[in-house]
Amino acid sequence: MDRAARVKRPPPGLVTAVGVGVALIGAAVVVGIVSGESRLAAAVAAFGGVVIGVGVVSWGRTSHHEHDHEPRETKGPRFGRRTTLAAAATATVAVGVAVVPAISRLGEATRRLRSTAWSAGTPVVDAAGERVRLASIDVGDLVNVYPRGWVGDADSQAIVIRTDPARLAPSVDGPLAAEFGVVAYSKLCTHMACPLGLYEQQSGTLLCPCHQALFDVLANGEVLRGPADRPLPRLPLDVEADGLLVARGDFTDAVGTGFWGRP
Amino acid sequence: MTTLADRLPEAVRHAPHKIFPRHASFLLGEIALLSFAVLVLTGLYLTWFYDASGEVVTYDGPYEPLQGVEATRAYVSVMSITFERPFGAVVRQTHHWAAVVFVAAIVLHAMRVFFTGAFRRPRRLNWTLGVVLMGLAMANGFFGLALPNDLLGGTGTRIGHAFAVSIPVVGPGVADLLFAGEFANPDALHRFWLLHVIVLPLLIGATLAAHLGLVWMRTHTQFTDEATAQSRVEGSSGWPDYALKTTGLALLVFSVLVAMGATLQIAPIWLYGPFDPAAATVPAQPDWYLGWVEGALRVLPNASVIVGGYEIPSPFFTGVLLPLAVFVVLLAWPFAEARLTGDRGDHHAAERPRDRPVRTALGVAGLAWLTVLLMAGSHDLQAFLLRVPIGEVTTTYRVLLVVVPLVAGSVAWSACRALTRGEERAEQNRASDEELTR
Repeated sequence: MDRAARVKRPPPGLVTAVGVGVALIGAAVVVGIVSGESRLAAAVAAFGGVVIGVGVVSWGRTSHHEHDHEPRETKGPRFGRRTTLAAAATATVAVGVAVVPAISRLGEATRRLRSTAWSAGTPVVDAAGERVRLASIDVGDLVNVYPRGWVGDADSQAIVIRTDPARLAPSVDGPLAAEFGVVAYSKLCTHMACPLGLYEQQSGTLLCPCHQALFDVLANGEVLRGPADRPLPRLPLDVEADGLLVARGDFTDAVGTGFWGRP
Repeated sequence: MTTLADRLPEAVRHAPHKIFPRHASFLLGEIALLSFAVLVLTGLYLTWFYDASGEVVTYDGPYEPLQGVEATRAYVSVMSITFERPFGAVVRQTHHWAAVVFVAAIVLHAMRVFFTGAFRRPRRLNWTLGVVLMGLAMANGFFGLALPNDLLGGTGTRIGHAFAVSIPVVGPGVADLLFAGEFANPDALHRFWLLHVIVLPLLIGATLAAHLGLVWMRTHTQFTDEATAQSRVEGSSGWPDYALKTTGLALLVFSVLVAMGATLQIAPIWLYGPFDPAAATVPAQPDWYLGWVEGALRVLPNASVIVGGYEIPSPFFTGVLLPLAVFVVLLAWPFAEARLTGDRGDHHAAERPRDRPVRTALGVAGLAWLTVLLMAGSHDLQAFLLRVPIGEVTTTYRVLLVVVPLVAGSVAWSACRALTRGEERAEQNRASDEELTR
């Protein structure tokens, strides 16, 4: 029997559904372009599509034949040892080709990860690029700072915190710590390099918004709670005769997330 | 006289008579395919207007709260698509929803194949291709999330960069290639664009073509006994049954995705704001199919290891090794199962999950474990809503990661056994009834 002849005549309901659906879509597109109400128009058009879709599916369901079948033949390539080896070889070559340029950049890339734009004598500026004066930081303050000329730089960003010197752990060294209670750290979490945002002044802790690592800024940036496992690198600071802050060198450790080749 | 129809390839001439599956669970793969079609169509529209440039400009578009804010051209172009192009917001949201549904349909489809043993010979190659497709889809989602260069997308890129640099030996070099140098170099957007719009879609398209070709040649599995399945393919014919149903399904998938794009807000980059290296969104959760890796990062113990004076940082274990291990298990499963059971024959009958209690239990346990990880991906929100300290939530999740898979696996195993035993008992009763009546 000719299979085409087995298609039942579309039921009147389907004809109506297609008519309504097409009308809805057409009207919605025109109205959407003219009026700019594109979301409403798209929703109406989608409703039209659903109406047609339901109609077509139910037509298909009414014209289907229970348990149709044909003899089984399975064709195509077999997944034998040879295919496996060929696939493994191709994957190895592909990975190898991708790794060669990566290795050629390894030295340079690692050097860049290890260092930031800070060095001895670099002036400390705030997010607006203005130099930071020691006297303008009050006890309880947190200031986001950058090396001069590098405002917005992702891995050089640091935070300067001023607290009561008596609250700092005895092990916290540096010329500004004991006298003024001023300490500075990398702003990047040592877990995944997210910028530390939430400073709780009362407990002297910094919280990472990404995975909730907690650091103690009163005790050399030690980790109080995981998932970080390394203290925050410190930025050694000094104050010039005119009261302006400068760095005494780069951070005490590579900033941010751990990486292969971190010193 | 030879007509045009006679010149068509054999496969095409056979198509109306070919037998296609009838069971509804076989539609999941089709939903994935149709979502991919929606992704390509909406993606063409989006890439027409998208500008993969990291150059910083001032936003002066119609969205008032951000007027005067500095942002990359990439961000501004996506804002312009959303607020100024005809149907732009709908197309962008439809694209995002289609990606969410695409991966979901792939995962559900893989579950159907797994729990019915449809990955066994002669469909092992196709299972392999399917797992590769799942990985490619997830990877493309990652790059797609990064493209608008909003604060959430940029945070995702930051996590990806941390994973890359953590790889032993080659990590910093790989990160340098992929992210155009150190993190937050806006030149990386151009590379993401190439990967998201050209490289990965081509790879997905090629793998998908091979996957579908193999389904066509190998035929589908069916819920009959093995002897019947070996001799004949059961289902419904290509024309009219299957053609009509699949056309209807295509219309439904397209329409539902457009309806979602038109009415359900997703990835509101105007609320997140442009990327800023000094900021991160709170809370920050990726799309669901990357959420399990996020959960692993949050609750698994940090485990940096020193090897020969070199540090392997903990993100390598949670972010690189763990996902890799999941994919290796998936790829190896059909081969491992064939070796362990000694069953290397061809199978065409779809098994009922209850008839393979060990496989079913292991599958359920694995899914339960991934689900716990996925939930842990938003443990900060849960701590906030339940007013519980975050440390306690982390500890709870560590316990759940051990307990939930064990419980879920045992329950699944017991359920399988109970179902088969019930059937055996019913069979015995029927047999004894027949004996009595005789």
